[in-house]
Amino acid sequence: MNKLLKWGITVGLIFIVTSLLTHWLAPHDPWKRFEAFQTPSHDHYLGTNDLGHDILSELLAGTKISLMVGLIAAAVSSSIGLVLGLLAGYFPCKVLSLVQMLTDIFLVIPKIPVLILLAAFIKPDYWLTAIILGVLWWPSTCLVVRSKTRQLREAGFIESARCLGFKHGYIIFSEILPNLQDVVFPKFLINLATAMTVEASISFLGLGNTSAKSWGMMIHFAFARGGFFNNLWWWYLPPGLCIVAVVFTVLWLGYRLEPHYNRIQPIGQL
Amino acid sequence: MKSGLSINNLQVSFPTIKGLLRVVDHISLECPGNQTLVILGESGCGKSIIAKSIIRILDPQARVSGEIMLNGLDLLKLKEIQMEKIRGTRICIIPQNPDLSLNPVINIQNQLVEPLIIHHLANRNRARNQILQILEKLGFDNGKSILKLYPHQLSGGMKQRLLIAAALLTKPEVIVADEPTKGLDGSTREIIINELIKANQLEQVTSILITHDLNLARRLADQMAVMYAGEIIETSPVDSFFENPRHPYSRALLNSSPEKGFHSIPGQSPSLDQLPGGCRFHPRCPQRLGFCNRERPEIKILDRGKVKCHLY
Repeated sequence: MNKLLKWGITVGLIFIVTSLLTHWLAPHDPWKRFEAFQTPSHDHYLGTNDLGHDILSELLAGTKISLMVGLIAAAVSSSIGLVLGLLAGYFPCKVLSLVQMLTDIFLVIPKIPVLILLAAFIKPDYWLTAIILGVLWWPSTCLVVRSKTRQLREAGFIESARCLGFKHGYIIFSEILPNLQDVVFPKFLINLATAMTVEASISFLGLGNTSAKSWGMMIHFAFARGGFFNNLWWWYLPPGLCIVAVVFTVLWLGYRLEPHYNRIQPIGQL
Repeated sequence: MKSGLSINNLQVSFPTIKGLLRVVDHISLECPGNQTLVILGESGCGKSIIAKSIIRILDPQARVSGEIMLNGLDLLKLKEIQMEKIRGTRICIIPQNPDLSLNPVINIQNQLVEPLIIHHLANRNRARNQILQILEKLGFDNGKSILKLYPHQLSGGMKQRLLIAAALLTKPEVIVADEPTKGLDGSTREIIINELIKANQLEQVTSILITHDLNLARRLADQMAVMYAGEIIETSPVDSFFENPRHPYSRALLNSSPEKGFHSIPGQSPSLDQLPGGCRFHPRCPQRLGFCNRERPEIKILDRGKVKCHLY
């Protein structure tokens, strides 16, 4: 294992553990009000915001929401992409044209404007946002999985499996799926990073759930309530750095793991 | 005593831009139970297509007619679901290319166990024991450690031996081996041939062996069938084939072996979309008669075997 890969995993784990232990790690209840606009001090390491909430506690509470949104969105988009890609790749004539059409349609949808439009109609809620992000971001996974599956279905071992009387469903799950981990896992991480950035962006635009703590929301309030103008860096900088750190870690892991998975895949016929 | 496999009037063609390409042309073959039928032929004459037709994994575009009878059952008339039950249990195939025929991310044990579990022939533990038994019978001295390995850790010859073991595992009635020695070096080929001989003795199977290796054919065959440009041109028992080949092509093939002095056959075998008229071998035939290029020969039944030539 690579030294840099170890660092990536360590940073990732720190964020995950933090999100799980927020309740015990946070110095204050993030909703408890103190005196507003305090500068960093021993009592409030990152000061307080306009409502008097402790910023460090807010930041820790935000970890959970930001990570959860990313994870759920990535899980949804990767699963949709995986299932559709497998079907389209394995049964070319029947489903292919339909899935291909659907993929193309989803690829041309301008995603952030759609999210803004949707935000105007639906209740702002992080779970819903996560699912919508997942539903919008599956086409790239689907494309990769489909081409890989098409490659694999022509491989000798799939033909052997058919010669042994295996059913199509079984072949898809136990012969093709294990061979797809090297494309799906990095794709999952990239989807995770994308979802987190997008979530932060729409929260920053003020379209997130104002009654919940997330990193994007913190920057939004810092921007809207004068944090930027008055140069209160302890308010807007930490959430920004956290977003950048998590996204970089995730992308880094994705890129590091790709060559790790890269084995030469046999392609050929019986 | 297991019954054999017979192929009657099998015809396989593929639609192409130039029209229907007839790859296998009215072939009839008979392989009696517990015997080995060797189909001998050059590359591209349609041998592998026969193997694929038997197990029915041809491209869906292929048009197949005729009948392939296994124990009174016409395989070509079965539905896909019925065929799935036959593949791997009653008919097994030993594939051509061992390097490509094992899944690279699954270890050997799990790959060998799969067919037994899928066809509900054994549970995981019993399947493992059966595999170890078969490997032992086939002369693997370290079966247990091999089972833990992944395909990339094994040599080509080893993979081919494992695929032979896999084919024997479900105790099929018929084994189809599609060029099992292709791409292997001399000593490995020897091991594989011995393994196939052992396999035949061990399990009493009817086997169909597709090859262009004369040495392999001589050592394994009971019946010989020679294929040229999509047609079977001669069938005969193995002893009479090697002592007294009837068809000029069979004779030429035997003469091209190293022991007989490398006399190559002049010309090239025709491409299947530009077949010569009359007898398909006539442009290369040293004994052609005046009407060979006009009239197609019929199958003639001789005292031992059948031949498709105007000379008889």
